[in-house]
Amino acid sequence: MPASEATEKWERLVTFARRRLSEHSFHSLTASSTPIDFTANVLTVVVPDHFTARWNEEKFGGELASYAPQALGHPLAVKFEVQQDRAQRVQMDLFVEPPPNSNRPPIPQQIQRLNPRYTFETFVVGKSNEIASAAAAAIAEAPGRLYNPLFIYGPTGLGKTHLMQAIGHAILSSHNDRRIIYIPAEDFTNSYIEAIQHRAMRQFRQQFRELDVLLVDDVHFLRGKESTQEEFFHTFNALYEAGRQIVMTSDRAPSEIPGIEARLVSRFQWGTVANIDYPSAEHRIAILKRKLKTDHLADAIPDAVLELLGESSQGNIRDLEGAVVTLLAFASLRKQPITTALAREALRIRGISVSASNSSDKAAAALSINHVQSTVAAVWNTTPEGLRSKSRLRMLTLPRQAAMLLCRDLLNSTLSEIGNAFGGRDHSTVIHSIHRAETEAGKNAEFQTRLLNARKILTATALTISATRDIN
Amino acid sequence: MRITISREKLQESLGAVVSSVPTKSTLPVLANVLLETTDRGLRISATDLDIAVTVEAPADIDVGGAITVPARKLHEIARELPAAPVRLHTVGEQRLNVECGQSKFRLLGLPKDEFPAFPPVVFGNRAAVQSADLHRLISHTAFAVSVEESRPILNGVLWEFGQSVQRMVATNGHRLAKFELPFPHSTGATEQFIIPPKALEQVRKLFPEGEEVQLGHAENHLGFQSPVASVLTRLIEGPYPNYDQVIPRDNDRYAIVNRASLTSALRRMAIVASDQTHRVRLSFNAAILRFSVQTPDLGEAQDEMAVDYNGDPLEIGFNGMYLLETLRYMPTDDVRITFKNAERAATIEPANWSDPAKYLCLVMPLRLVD
Repeated sequence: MPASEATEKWERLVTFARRRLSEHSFHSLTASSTPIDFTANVLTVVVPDHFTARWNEEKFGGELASYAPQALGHPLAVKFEVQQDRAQRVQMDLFVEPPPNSNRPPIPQQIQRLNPRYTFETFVVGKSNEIASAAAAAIAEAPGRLYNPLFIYGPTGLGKTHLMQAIGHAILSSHNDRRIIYIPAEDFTNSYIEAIQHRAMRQFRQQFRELDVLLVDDVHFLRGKESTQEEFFHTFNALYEAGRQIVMTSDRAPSEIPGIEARLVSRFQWGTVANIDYPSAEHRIAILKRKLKTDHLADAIPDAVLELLGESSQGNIRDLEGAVVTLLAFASLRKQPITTALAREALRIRGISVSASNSSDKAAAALSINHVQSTVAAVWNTTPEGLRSKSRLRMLTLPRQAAMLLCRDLLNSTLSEIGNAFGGRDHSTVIHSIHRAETEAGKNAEFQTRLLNARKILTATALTISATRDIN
Repeated sequence: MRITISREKLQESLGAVVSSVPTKSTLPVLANVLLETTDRGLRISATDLDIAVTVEAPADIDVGGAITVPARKLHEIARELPAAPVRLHTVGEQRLNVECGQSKFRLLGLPKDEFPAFPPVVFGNRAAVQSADLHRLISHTAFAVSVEESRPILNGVLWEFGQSVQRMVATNGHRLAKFELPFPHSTGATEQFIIPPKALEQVRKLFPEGEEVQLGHAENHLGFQSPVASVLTRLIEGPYPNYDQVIPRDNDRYAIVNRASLTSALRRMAIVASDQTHRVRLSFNAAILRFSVQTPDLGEAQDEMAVDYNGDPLEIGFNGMYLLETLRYMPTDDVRITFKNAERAATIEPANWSDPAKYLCLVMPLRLVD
């Protein structure tokens, strides 16, 4: 089986044959042949082309076999084949048949892994994604030409994957023989590791380097994985050089992804780098409507509720979709009509806070973190500076946690905004603090009273401020 | 041996054979030239065991004889001597005295018997060929031979005689060149020789156009001979692959392209093309031929030119070097290129060529997918 055994048999055989063949025949036989396998008394020898295989077989095959008993002590057959990689080479050869798969059967759907929901038809274009979607549309028209590679980045849940897969669907709908694969970078890594373990690198490379379009999601997962990066680098080059389209997504711009080799980063930047940002409220509402339409639920949710949903979330579409699912579940389980009140409840369950009423929505905008800090400081008999400080005295940590909770509930502030306003704390610290505040409120009556008190004062302040503004 | 020869003749003759002297050899005598006297003058021979080259120069012979001396040294001496008759005479079996004017040299050589003998080849019982024809055949094909050691047969140029034609074919598997000339003397039986391109190079150098060249064939050697020179070469053992089988007959798309414009566009693309694959992408669409090159780490290039193209739009990749080499030997201003698809051989031929010769080149595409 091993090649070394094949080499040894071959050496012994040709050494024996040398005295019996003309110098020229011997030379043309040995120069063209490489032994690669010895199994069940068949010695397989590879040659550069079909012509040589046939010729060597005819001229030397029988003769070599007849020497075997004397040269090796056992019978053996010699089989000449065309070296396999010849058929795969980039430069095609007149005397090497193309590989049998050269008519390139399309890739089966389970390997393509395109989600049928993610098409251009279901993608809503807005200001925050118009460049990315324009580039994607151009690629779908003429893959591998204008924007190659396309690198889409932006926070999670804003439609990067959707846009990327839409390209795949659009190309397939006009050319169903195109070879397209969608693969998250993590799965690319896993397939690579598997290929190494099973010594199937050739198949691995064949799979990825013979594509027309490669869609790689979340390339930041390649961070720190040096050999996968190396392999991806070569895959990238092979495809790029052949004019094949590559589309990648990541949660941040190429140059900001840590742990990615510079040469790979520079490749990410070669083509077009497009950002997808948080959508505006109107955009979010449009997205919701489109989604409901796709799900045949166009009239299920009143516009007022949609507006509430659109305006309440921070912008992550996935959260928004989750909220709709929760809302629908609520309505159907409780057999209640879908109202703004029900929507608020659903949102709260999803961890998205909504202020008590529409007028207080406006009011929330009037309040600032400063208001919250000074109010809480007053209720707990401490100072806003103390709340903003790094100090971890219990007399400061409790009101600080309460203030953070109120900021999130009343102001819809983001975790990092809150963190920054409270002495530059990390967002995870903020999550922890809010959690602590909620627990504390459950078991500490005094804490809960003060918290309620502060909430009332703040709501009142907010109403006063917005009333004053309205008058002005 | 004692002879007198003109300095010019000596230098010229040595210059003709010295390139056949191997630079490195395990056999010391191969670094020498064999000097022999004949009825007409001095015969000088060199060989690397595969190819033997002989030239004859007029000389006055006092005493006949033979010796071998270091080829490059004698050549250098002949080059530097003053313009006066050169006297060569041997002292014993291994020493040659060279005198010219006041210059005197003594060269240590080896006995003539150590010089390898070539199998006797009989000339004259076959039809002669014109050296001009040989020049055309060789220059249009020899560039295409393979240098890949594992394809020994493709390392040679096929010279074939058929029904009233002679042709040469060379290929490295990626591209192929075939040049055909009428040859009325052909007997009709097909005959094939596979000749190392180095031997053909010598033929081209030693037989100026306008000579008749006699051929001699013995076992696995072929000889070329004119009254003053001969080249004897070992043949590569065949058979040659069936090249006819790979010449496409069903290419249904074609373009007529200006050779000079195509050449300059390809040369521009070649600058940015990959050093390994030299890949250039050609896309034919209506009357426009677009070129593009994308090379990781280096950059990209595009170009386009007007062509006369017939067929559905086509995208095809080629090794730009192969196309350029092929175009270099095309004898006409316009060339006709035909295609089947991006995975099949393209043919390149002279367009509107009124010549009894036929010239055809094939180039296999580069896969656009790795």
